[in-house]
Amino acid sequence: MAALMLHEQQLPLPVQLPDHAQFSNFVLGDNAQAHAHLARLPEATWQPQDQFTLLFGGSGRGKTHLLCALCEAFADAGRSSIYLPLSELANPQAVAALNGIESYDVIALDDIHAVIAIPEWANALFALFNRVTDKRDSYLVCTSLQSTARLPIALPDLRSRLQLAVSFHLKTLSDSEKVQAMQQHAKARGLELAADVGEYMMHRLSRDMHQLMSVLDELDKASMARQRRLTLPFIKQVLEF
Amino acid sequence: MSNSLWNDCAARLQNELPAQQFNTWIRPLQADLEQNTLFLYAPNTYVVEWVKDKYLKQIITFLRSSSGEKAPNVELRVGGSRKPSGMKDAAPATSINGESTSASLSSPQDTNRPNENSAAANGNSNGRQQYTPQVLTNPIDRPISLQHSNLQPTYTFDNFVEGRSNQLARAAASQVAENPGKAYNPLFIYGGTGLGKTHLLHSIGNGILANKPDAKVFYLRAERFVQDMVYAMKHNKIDSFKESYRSVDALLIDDVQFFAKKDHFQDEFFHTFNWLLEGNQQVILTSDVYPKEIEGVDERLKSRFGWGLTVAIEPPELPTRVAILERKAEERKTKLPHEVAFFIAKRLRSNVRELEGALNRVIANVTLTGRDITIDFVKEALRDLIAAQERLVTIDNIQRTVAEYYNIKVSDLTSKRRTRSVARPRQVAMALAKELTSHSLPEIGDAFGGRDHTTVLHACRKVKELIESDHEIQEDYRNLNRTLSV
Repeated sequence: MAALMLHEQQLPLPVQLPDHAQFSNFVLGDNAQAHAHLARLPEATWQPQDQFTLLFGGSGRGKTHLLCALCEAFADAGRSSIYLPLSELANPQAVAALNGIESYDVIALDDIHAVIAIPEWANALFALFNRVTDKRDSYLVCTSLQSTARLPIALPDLRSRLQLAVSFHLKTLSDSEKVQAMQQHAKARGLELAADVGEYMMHRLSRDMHQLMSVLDELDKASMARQRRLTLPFIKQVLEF
Repeated sequence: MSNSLWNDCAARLQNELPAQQFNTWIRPLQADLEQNTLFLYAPNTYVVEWVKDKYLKQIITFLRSSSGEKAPNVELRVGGSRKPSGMKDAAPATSINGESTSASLSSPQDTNRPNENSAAANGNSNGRQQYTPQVLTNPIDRPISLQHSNLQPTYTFDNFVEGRSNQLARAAASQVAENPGKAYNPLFIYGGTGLGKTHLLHSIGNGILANKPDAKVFYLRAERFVQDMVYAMKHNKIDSFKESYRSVDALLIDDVQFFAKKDHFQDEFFHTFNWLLEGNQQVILTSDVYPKEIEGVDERLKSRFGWGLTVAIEPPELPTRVAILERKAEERKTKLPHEVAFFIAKRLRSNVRELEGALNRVIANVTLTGRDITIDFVKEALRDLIAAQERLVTIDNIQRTVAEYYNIKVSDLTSKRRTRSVARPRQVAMALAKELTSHSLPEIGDAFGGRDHTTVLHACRKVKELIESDHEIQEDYRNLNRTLSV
């Protein structure tokens, strides 16, 4: 626990994904199929069976990364997209954010579990599913902590729409894959994270990817401020091990 | 000009904002430059207000830094751009409509501003990708057009799989398609979600049109009727709304339970409904429950619903589920062996959408792997749907389960005792905690009687080694892992 203390201050929980989420920098682990399924959509001919996709699984498995990568890939293909983080819109008034979004080629709804028990949201999502179904040329991709069967959905009609989705259970990365993901993230920021340093972090910190990335961000700032590379002594000093 | 200006601005925002924020609020905006005003179109007022509140100042600052005095005013609006953004061919003009609230803020014409070089403005200075603009091709929120039937041509009687659960509804639907306004009026089809009510509704509509191509047939969902009426009232067009709905030969309304508690709309619908019945114009309705059981709907409307014929669709029985899977696989040009269809149908029973979702996942796996569909292949593809449901695993839970499995006490696991009968289960429990939770190794060590993280590391290595060499440990570990994860 004490390992997470930095400058006598508890690290804030991460709320944002780094700004370079792409398919190419997603560490596959056991999630290659979900990755491949989404990565082919931007260039694929539209088929009804691809219209809805659900990615589910616990925190820190890359759900948000895949959604942001999907928006990026659609943009590269000259196509439109919108991403909505529903955990930040979990109040009845915010359902207005769904109005008109069926116009986009891809609609990415992150964390539907956060709103699905709110009746206004369940109704609005049901209506969105119907509008997207009728439009027949766009994709709706949702993420959730639980599978459709486990989601506390008040509206049976919405549950059955979600059942239609191609559903992927995302798995956690192994420790070595997590180190690889941290190394990629560090590289994108112009930092070098040696494997043994990554491993050292894995052995001492929470192995939740969000937490690890958050620590890496802090190390990035510290490295910048002190003009130091990410060596073991430096990390020990910053993380006060 | 217009797009390159916005593209530069968006590229800079992309480099400054976290990916989620950019993809939520900036990427979806469409730009149009007209007479020194940059119109930014958002899908709804919620997005307009958010962007106005959080990003407009930043947008204006960027525009000023790149265009100086010539920086355009910025106006945020709901709707789609009237011109495509230039990345690909798009549909022509889409009007601003329904939600017409617009937010605008002029960029101050301040000449004392910093001048930035073009590389930074393009967002290319750090090698990141350049922003690619959005192209929306469809209008947003407008009244439904009664010029079009809204029927899906893919839903026909020919591809409706008949079985004991739906044959009465299928027969009644077929008669109505043959003799609209005469056979059963209204025809009311009810049943749980995902059982094929909508398919039958479209089949009737398509059947009527096949017999009489100039018939005015119109399909919509109940909530769309409500939205249309709201639009008509807002724009003083209620008379033409009534006239349109009353001029059809057949009105097909799906999910009438969504009229619940909308008294004003029920009233209007009641009159439209009566008008159509009196004129021998066909009305076909669906709902998830028997008409009398629809909650929140006026009694007189419920009673009218039952005037014609009311038929149920039940969940499909096994042979029908198999036939549905085979039919859908055929439509998707996928070869689904009979025994595989049987395997899926036996396990998924609730509704047709669930079957279709499973088939979609199987087809996705075929597309990705190119392998043949076998029962093993399907077991793997549908593992998440059929069996494993994720559980939140805690160290406490692991300790309890492991203690129970080895018939020892939880306190033994956290004690200092180092006898084999306690040490081995403790190592197994530590390895499970590492595999199934995200706790740090020091945290796991703490939970096992304040042990060091190197002890946890040693335990994990030891268990990994034993799993490979000792069949019994391998079996124990697998059983415990399964008990904890499923």
